[in-house]
Amino acid sequence: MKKFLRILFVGIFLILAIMSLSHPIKTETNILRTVVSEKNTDLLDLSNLYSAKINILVEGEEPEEVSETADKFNESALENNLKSISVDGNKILELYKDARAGLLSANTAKLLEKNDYEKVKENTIEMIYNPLGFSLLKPEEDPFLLFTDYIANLGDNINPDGIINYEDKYYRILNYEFDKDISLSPSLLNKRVKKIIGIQKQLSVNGVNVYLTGTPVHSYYASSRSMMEINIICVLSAIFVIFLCLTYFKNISVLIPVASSLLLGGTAGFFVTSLMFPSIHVLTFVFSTTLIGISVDYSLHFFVSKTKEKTGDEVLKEIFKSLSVSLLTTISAFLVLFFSHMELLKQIAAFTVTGLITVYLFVVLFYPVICKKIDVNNSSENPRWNFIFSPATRKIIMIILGIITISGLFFTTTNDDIRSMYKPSKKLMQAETLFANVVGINPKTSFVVVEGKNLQDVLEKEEHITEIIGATKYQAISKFIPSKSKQAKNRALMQKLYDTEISPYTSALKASSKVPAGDYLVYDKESFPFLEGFFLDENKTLMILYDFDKPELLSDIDGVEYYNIQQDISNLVKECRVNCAKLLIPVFILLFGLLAVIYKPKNALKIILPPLCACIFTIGLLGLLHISLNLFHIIAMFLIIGFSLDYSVFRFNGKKLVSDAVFMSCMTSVFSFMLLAFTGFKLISSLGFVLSVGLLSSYILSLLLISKEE
Amino acid sequence: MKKFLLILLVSFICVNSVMAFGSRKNAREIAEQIPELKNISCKFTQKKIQEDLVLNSGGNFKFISDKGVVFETLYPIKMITTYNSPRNKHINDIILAVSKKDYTYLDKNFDLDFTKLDERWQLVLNPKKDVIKQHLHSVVIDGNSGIDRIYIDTVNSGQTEILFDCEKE
Repeated sequence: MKKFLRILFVGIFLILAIMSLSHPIKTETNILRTVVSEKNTDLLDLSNLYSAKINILVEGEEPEEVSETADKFNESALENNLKSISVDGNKILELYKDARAGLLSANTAKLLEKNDYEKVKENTIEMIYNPLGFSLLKPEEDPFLLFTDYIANLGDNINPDGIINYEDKYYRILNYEFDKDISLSPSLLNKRVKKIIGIQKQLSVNGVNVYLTGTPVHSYYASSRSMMEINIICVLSAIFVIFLCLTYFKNISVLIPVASSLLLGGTAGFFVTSLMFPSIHVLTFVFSTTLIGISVDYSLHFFVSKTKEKTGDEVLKEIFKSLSVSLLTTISAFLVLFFSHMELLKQIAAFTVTGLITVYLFVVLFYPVICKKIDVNNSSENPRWNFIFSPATRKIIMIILGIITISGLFFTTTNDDIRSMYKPSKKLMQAETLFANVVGINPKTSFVVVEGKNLQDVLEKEEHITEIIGATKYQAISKFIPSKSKQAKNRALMQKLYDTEISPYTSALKASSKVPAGDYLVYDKESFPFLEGFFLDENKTLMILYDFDKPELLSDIDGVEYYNIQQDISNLVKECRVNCAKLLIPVFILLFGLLAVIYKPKNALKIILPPLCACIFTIGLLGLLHISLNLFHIIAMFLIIGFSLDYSVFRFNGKKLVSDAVFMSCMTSVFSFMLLAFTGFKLISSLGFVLSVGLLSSYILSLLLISKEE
Repeated sequence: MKKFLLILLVSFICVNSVMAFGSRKNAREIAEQIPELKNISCKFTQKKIQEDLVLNSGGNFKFISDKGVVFETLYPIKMITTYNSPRNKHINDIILAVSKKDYTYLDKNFDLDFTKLDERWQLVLNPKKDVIKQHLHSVVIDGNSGIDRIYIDTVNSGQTEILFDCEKE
């Protein structure tokens, strides 16, 4: 029977592997994907707007050296496939010229609407006498200089490539964008950014500084640092595990089946998750590595119970109930995550449940066979790491834990700002601040997504919005390409001006009394590459508003959505945090129910109390340390339950030596998470801290609440 | 004085500024003959000629190194023209590039010809890029101990001649 089950296990694993590897597996790195659901894709698109953009700020004492360095940088950047948005000025000007009858600056259009022709003429005369000003068209073609006025007003919307003087230093700004195929691949993107950083270092000499800002730069530094830290942690963790195995089992070969089981579990988890979801979020991997900590318990219990006298099957028989109950409770806790509205939690559930089942089956089906020849030094009848506390000590520890928990809970606060999860290095922060100051970036930026039946409909809606927002500064496609209806209206206004005021010019300048004929100006991608970024979809665009704080004015317009990204994301994170926290209650009820069926309610309560109290204690400790509770802390609670419930179950079921297995299991996990707590990426470090505290406290509580006699 | 006129020229062109690469040596050599730019106030008279039409104007001119140039036209209309508004951002950028001796930036815009005979000299600026050439033929500066005259020949707006008189200040 077991032989058949082993073949079935291998068969299912191979089928999963073939199915999974036969389709492309995508990795999602956007942290917002953890909280933004499909219905909020606009928000995600908006947040992705700048994900492929990189900004270069060249700083120097003299403008000459700044320009020279900027040019050198540009040459090197283009050699490295960085895309700079270039505009064919000739072509655009020709398009505008052909459609000039429908083009009026906002100010002139307003004057014409009010029939204030005197002011229009006054402006024309001022333009004529402007010493450094000149007309883009011949006087007879544009007697009122309306076209020159329109083009001049577009000027302030185009990013200048001139020198900027800021606080006694000179700056040049270069903007680049990576191609989509590069920006969507973290490894490719990092390679390119590495080259850019190389150029930066090469050119930051002789008093000239080159600063890099933008999402790809942050991603590069964060991932490079994390990679190095994780490598160090892996090495340290491996040394610690080897040390434990050598100390306890006096045989390092136990690591072979342990590592094999973990590898199989992780691989199976990956296969199933990739089949269930269109892309796997990188945080799924981060959280699911905790699978190692949970599933290593099964192996440790096997080897701790193994002696020379007992066969593998006998050992398995002895621990089978513990292993099975442990698996059942852990996967029950994770299965509840499928009812959450967060894809990340669903992915973690799929990955962990599959991984745990695989490791469990591997231990149950294969360990008795493959571990026959692994001789472990379990001669002692008594556990080596069994901590028994006197009733007085138990009381003191409980009181201390209780005081910390209760007092901490009073200080518990929450923080749903996703930016608080990432703290860039001082150098990067300095570059971002400098860039914002030099460019004059307005921190109060909000977005409006406009959707219509077609582009003309969208442009009309944009124009309607600009009327509503009044003097608010903004950027939008309609600023460069007016809608056809607006162009028709402008044409009529211009004709009325001509009808009223053109007569003196018709003889003096030989100007026509009719506004020039010509087509409507329409958008085309090739002529207006700098407008491409405004499109979220064929018929969906975005407007950027500065210092706008009356979103209620836009709420009634059909197809228009207002987004204050920072606020909206914080609201979403809060919603996810609350939903996750609410899920914790059914998880505990479900686990209690399961344990009550197996062990009776009174014992179930004893088993479930340590992880429950550990979660509350951890939240209390965070409060006491003035660390605000965030979404990822709540997710960590599920992991604490998943891990530490095993400690209680094993202790409750366990034979004499089980306390050694529980101790080793706890120590390996706490050690690894403690190391994570010292990493630079705040999300990971806060998780590491919470998990190490949660697991350690749960272990201590299991010692206090589940006595050996039981 | 020479240099502030150079500013005017460059500023004029940058209404349609599109950059190109050119002779770096010329700009540097010419700049060496231009004295350090200081804040200056002058009278100016301007003549814009378009076919048969001649428009005369005049007033005060100021250059303030950290603010840019200001034309205060006093006749036939009163108006003040500055080049540091968002509408004239490009002009201001180039004014800064010139006044702070940013030759790299300057060379992208013009081919420069500089001739000198005794105390008199002439600087001719020819735009490099087509988009500028469509609107500007050339700019000529005549000077002696200072700048006396700027002559701007455009495609659509005729010719503009600005005469400076700093002695009368």
